Amino acid sequence: MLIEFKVNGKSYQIDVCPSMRLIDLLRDELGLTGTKEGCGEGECGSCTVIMDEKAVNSCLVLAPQVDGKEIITVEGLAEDGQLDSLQQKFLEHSAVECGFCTPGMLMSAKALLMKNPHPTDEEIRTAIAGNLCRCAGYAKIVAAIKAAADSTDQ
Amino acid sequence: MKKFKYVKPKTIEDALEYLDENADEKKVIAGGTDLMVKLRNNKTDPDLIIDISELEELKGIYRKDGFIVIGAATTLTEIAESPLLKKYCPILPQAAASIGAVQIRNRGTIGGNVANASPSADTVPALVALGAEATLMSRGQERKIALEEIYIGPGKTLIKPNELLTSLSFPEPKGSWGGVFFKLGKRKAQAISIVNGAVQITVDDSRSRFKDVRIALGAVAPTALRIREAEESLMDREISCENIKKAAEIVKSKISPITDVRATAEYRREVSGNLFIQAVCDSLGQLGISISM
Amino acid sequence: MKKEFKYVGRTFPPDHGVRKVTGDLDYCCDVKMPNMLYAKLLLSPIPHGIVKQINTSRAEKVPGVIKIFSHFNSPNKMFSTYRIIPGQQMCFEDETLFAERVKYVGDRVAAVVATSLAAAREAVSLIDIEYEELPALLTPEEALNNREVKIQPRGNVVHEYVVDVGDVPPTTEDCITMESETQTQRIHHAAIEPHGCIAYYDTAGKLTIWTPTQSVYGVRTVVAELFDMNYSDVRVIKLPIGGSFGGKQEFLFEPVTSFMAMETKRPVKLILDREECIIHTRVRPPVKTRIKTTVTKSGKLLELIADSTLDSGAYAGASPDYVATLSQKVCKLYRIPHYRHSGRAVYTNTVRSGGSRGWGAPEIITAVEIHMDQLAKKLGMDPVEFRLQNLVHPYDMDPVVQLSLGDARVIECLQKGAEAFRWKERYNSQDKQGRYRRGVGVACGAHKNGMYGGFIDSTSMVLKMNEDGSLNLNASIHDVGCGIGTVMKIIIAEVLDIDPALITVTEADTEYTGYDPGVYGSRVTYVVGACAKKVAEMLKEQILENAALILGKPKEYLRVEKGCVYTVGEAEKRVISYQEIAEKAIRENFRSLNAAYTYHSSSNPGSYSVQFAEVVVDTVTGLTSVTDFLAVSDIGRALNRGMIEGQFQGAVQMGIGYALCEEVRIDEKGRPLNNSFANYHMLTALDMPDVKVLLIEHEGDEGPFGAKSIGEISTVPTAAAVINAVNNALGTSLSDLPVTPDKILAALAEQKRVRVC
Repeated sequence: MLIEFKVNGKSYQIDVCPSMRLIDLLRDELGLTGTKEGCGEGECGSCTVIMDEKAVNSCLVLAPQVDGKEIITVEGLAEDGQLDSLQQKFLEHSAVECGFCTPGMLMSAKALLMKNPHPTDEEIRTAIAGNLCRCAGYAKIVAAIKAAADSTDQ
Repeated sequence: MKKFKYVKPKTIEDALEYLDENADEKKVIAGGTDLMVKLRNNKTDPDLIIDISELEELKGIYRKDGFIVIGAATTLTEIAESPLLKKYCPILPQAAASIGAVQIRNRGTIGGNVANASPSADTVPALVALGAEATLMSRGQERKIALEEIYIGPGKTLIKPNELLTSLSFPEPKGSWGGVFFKLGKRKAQAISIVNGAVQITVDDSRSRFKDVRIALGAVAPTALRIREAEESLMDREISCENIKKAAEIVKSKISPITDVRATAEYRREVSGNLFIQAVCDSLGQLGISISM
Repeated sequence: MKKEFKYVGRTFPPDHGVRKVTGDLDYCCDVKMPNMLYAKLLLSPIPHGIVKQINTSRAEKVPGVIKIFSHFNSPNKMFSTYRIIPGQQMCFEDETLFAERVKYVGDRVAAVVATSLAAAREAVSLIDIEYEELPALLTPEEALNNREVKIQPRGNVVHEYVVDVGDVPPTTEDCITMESETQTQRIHHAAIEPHGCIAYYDTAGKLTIWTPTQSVYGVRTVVAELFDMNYSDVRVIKLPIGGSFGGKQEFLFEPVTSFMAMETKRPVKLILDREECIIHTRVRPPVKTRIKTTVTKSGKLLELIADSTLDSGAYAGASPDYVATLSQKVCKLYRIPHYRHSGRAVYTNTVRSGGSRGWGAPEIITAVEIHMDQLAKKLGMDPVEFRLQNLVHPYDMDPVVQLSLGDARVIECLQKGAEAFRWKERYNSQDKQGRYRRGVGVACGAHKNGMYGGFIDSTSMVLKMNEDGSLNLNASIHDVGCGIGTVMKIIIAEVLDIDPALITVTEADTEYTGYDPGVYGSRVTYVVGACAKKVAEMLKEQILENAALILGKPKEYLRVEKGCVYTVGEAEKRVISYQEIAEKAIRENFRSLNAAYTYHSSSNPGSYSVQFAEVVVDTVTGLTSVTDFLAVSDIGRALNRGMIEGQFQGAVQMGIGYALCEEVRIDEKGRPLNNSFANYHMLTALDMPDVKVLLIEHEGDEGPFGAKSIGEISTVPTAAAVINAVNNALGTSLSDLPVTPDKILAALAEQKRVRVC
C-alpha cells in the first residue's frame, strides 16, 4: 500500500507491505541505518525515533501507521553538517561509548527537550528509562542532556 | 511476521463494519505496543489488521453527566499527564505513568491496556477501583459492562469479535477520597508488574470509621480482582490496625497467584498483603489520618 | 615531582565519536553487500537429544530460500570456538558446525540461507525435525552424580585443578574458623548490539569475514584450521562493536557463516535476534564457591581454603582456563599464609558459558568479599579495619602465579575511599528499623594487566608520519566500545606533542595489520598502549634525527613541542614543523618516517578497585535500591578521564544487576526462562544511583605513563559491595545471587522465626 510521510523534513511516497515495521522502512527502504535494532520488542529503545514530536520505538510501529506522519531520525539531528547541541554534548561528556544505543538515546533526549527545554535530572532519567545502555551506566548521558539543555539558554 | 491486510477506517462505523464483515481472523491495532510483539513472536496470525489509532472519536478525556469518560484510543501519556484525571482520580494517571517507558506510553492506549486482558495490566486495578465501565460498540449496538466483570481469564474478555471497546467511564469521585495505586516491578521502568493494585477510601465525619472502600489487585490471579470481601470487612468499621490487618488476610486469601519468571506465588501472596496494608495507610494519610501498623 | 601532561588525563571522545552520534557508523547489522544472502539459525528446543531426521521440503518451498544446512550436509570436523593460536593448551575440540547430538536448548541444529531475512525466518519455522530425546543434566550436581550420561565423550568434567601455596604459620593466638557458600549466576553480557557476522568466499578461493570480534587472528585460526585453508587465504576484518564485555571473545558464528558462504559462493550475513543472543551465545558461568578461613581473633588471616564448581554449559569453550583463573585472584588481594583452591568446570545441558568481563574475578571475589564481611562481623571488627590488616602491599609477590603485584595500592584505595564515603560514620549509623532499612557495604577487588605469565602477550605496530605531518598508526586495534583507538592517540600525542585529531588508527585486519591476540585479560592499555608509546618514541627519534639533518644541529639540542622541533641552547630559537621534516625527509633525504615494533609485556601487576555501596531495602516488598555508590581504583595514571569514569559507571550498572536482578534461569525442562529483554532485567537510568569515581594515580608500573587497566577490574567488587550493604541493612548473610526480593523476604521471615524461637 502507498503511504506518504516525511523523514527529516523530506517527503516520501512509498509502497509498503502492511507487515513492514517503521524500523525496516527506515533502514531497508530509505537506507537510514542510524536507527538500530537491539531487541525488536520495545524493551531496549535503540530504535527510538521521533514521530509527530513524540519518541516511539520504531520496531513497534507498523509502516502503514506512518502514513501522514513526520519522522525525525538520528540522521536528521545535524543540520548542514553542524552537530545538534545534544550530539555535541554527548561527545564532550563521554556519553558515547560503543555507540549502539546512542542514536536511540539521542532521539529520546531530543523528544524530551522539544517538549521540556529545561528538564530536571529525574525528568531526564524518566525520558531515557526506555533506552538501555550497557557501557556507561547513564550518568554521563544524563549530564550530556543536562548540558545540552543548559546550552540552549544562551 | 506473516502477511496480513491492513485498513485504517475513518469513522467508528467503518471500523465496526470491518469487524463485522467477514469471518477472517481480525486484530485491532492502536498503539501496537503489545500486538507488534505478538506478531513478531508468531503468537497471533491475523488476516486483517484494523487500525483505530487515529479515530478522533476514540480519543480524549472529558466529564459528562457526572462521569469521567476516556476514549479507548487515548494514549497512556495523555492519561498520565491529564490535569483532569490528576485532580479527580490520581490513581489512574499514576497507573498509566508506571507502564513501560516514555516510548511505550506515547503509543500504548488505555483501550489496549484494558482489552489485551493481561492479568498484570496496570491501569485495570485503578479503573476497577474507580468502578469503571467499558463501552462496547458493534454495528448498530452499544452496551456497557462493568470492567471487573469483563475478564474471564488471561487474555480473555467478554468483548465479542464484532465489538470494539470505544471508551471507559466511571463516576466522578465525590467528596474526599484517599487513593493509592501501587505497583511492584523489578525495576523502576520497563517492568511488568509482579503485583499491582489500587485502593480508594473515604471515611465518615468522625474520621474514625471507614466509609467507602474499594480494593482491586492485579497480577495475582488470572484476571484483575476487586476484593469485595475485604472492602466489606472495612466499610463502616473502625479505622484500626487490627481491622486493616484482617482485611489484608482476606486479600491474601482471595488471590490466587502463580509462580512465573518474575516471582513465586508465595512471594506474590505475602507481598500483596504487605502492599495492601501500606496502601490503606497511605490513603488514610492523604485524608490526614495517620495510623502506624 | 608532579608531571605535567598535555593530553594524558584529559577527556576525549571515543573512536568514531562523530559517526556514532550522527548514526553514520556502520555496524555489522548495517552492512549490505551486492548479492548478499541472509542466514537464520534453527536452535534446539530440547536440552539433550539426537537429531534423527530433518525434513526441509516445506521450508524449501518458501520463495527466496537458497539452501538449508544441518549436520546431514555439513562437515563433522570438531573445533573449539576458543582457539586463538594453533598450539594453544586447554582448548577442547568438542563441537561441529551443526549438532548431530544437541546438548542444550539453543544449540545449532540447522540454518537457512535465503535472499531475505523474512524468507529465511519463515523457512526455519517450516523445518520439521525429529529428535530422540536423551536425559538432560541441568546442573553441575546432576552432571557429577549421573556420570553414566555423558554430555561430551570426554565425560562430564571439563577440567579440574588444585592450587596449594604456603603453610599455616605457628601462632599463639586464639583462632576462629568460618565457612560460607556463595552461588553466582548466569549473566547475559547484554551488549546492545546483537551478535553476527558476514562472510564471503570469492572465486579465487579466498574467504573474507567481517565481524565485530575481540580477536581477528583468533577467528582466522579457527576458520582456517576447520576448512584446511592457508591462513593467508582467510582475511578477517574487525567491524565496529556495539558492546562486547567478553561476549564476542570466542569465535562462535564465524565458522558456520563462512561455511554457508563457501557453499553458496555469495556473501552471507548472519545477525542474531535478542533471544538467540541470550540462549545461543555465551553467558557468564554460574559458580558455586565454598570458603573456609582460619583467622586470629585479632583479625589476621592464616588460611583460606576454597572450592569452586563452575558450570561450563554444553561445550568447553573458555571454561577450562576460566575455572583456573578463579584461583588466581584471591592472593592478588589478600596476604594469606596458606591458600588452597580446588576447582572444576563441569559440562551441563545448558547454554554455554564463556569469557565474561573480569574472567573469574567477579565470581570468586564476590564469594570472598561476602565471606570477609561475615568474618569481620564474627570477629566484631569493622569490615574496613579487618581488610586493612590483610590486604596485599605494593610489590608483594603473588604466590600463585609467582609474579610481583607491582605498585598494588589497594590499601590506599580502601583508606581514601573510606574517608570519601564517610564509611565509619555511615557504617555505625543506626537506620535498621522500620519499613525502609539503610545499609552500607564495601568490597575490594583484584584483577590483572594483560596475559603475561599465562599466555602470549605481544602486539605489533607501525607508526608512520605522512608528508603533511599527520600520523597513521597501523595496529590490530579491536575497539570494544571504550575508545581503544582514542587511548592510542592520546599516548602518541603525549609523546610527540601533536594534536590527537591528526592521528588515524586502524582497526584489526589480518591482511594489513600486525599480530595481536585480541582484546581480553585487561591487556589493551597496559600492553597495546605500551607498544603505542614505544613506536611513538621510536618515531620521535626519527623525527629528531631528520630535523638534526635539516637544521644541522645534533639531536641532543632539539626538542619537540606542539608539532614542531625547536632548537635549544641557542640565543635565537629555531623551529621546524613536523610537516617540513616529514616532507623533506622523503623528498631530500630519501627516508620515510615510520617506526615498527613488536612489544612483549614483561610484567603483570595487579589492578585494584574498592567499592562502597549504600542501599535501602524495602522490607514490605524486599526490593533493594542502591542509593549511593563510590568506586575507587588504583589506575596508575588515567589516560582518557571521562571515558574511564563512564566505564566505571557502566561496570557498576553491570555489577548491581549481578547482585540484585540479572539472571538467565533455566527451568526444569532445560529452557532458559529469561530469554528476552522483557524478562532479563538490567538497570535503567531510573534505577541507577549517582556513581562517583575516585582514581588513585601513582604511575608505579610499566604501562604507558604508568597507566593500568580498568575495563574489567571496574566491575569485580561491585556485586559484593551491594550484597554486603544489603546484609548490613538487614542483619542477614545472603550469598545466593541475585539477591532478589523473594530471597530477601524469605530471609527476613526466617530472622523473625529464629527470634521468636
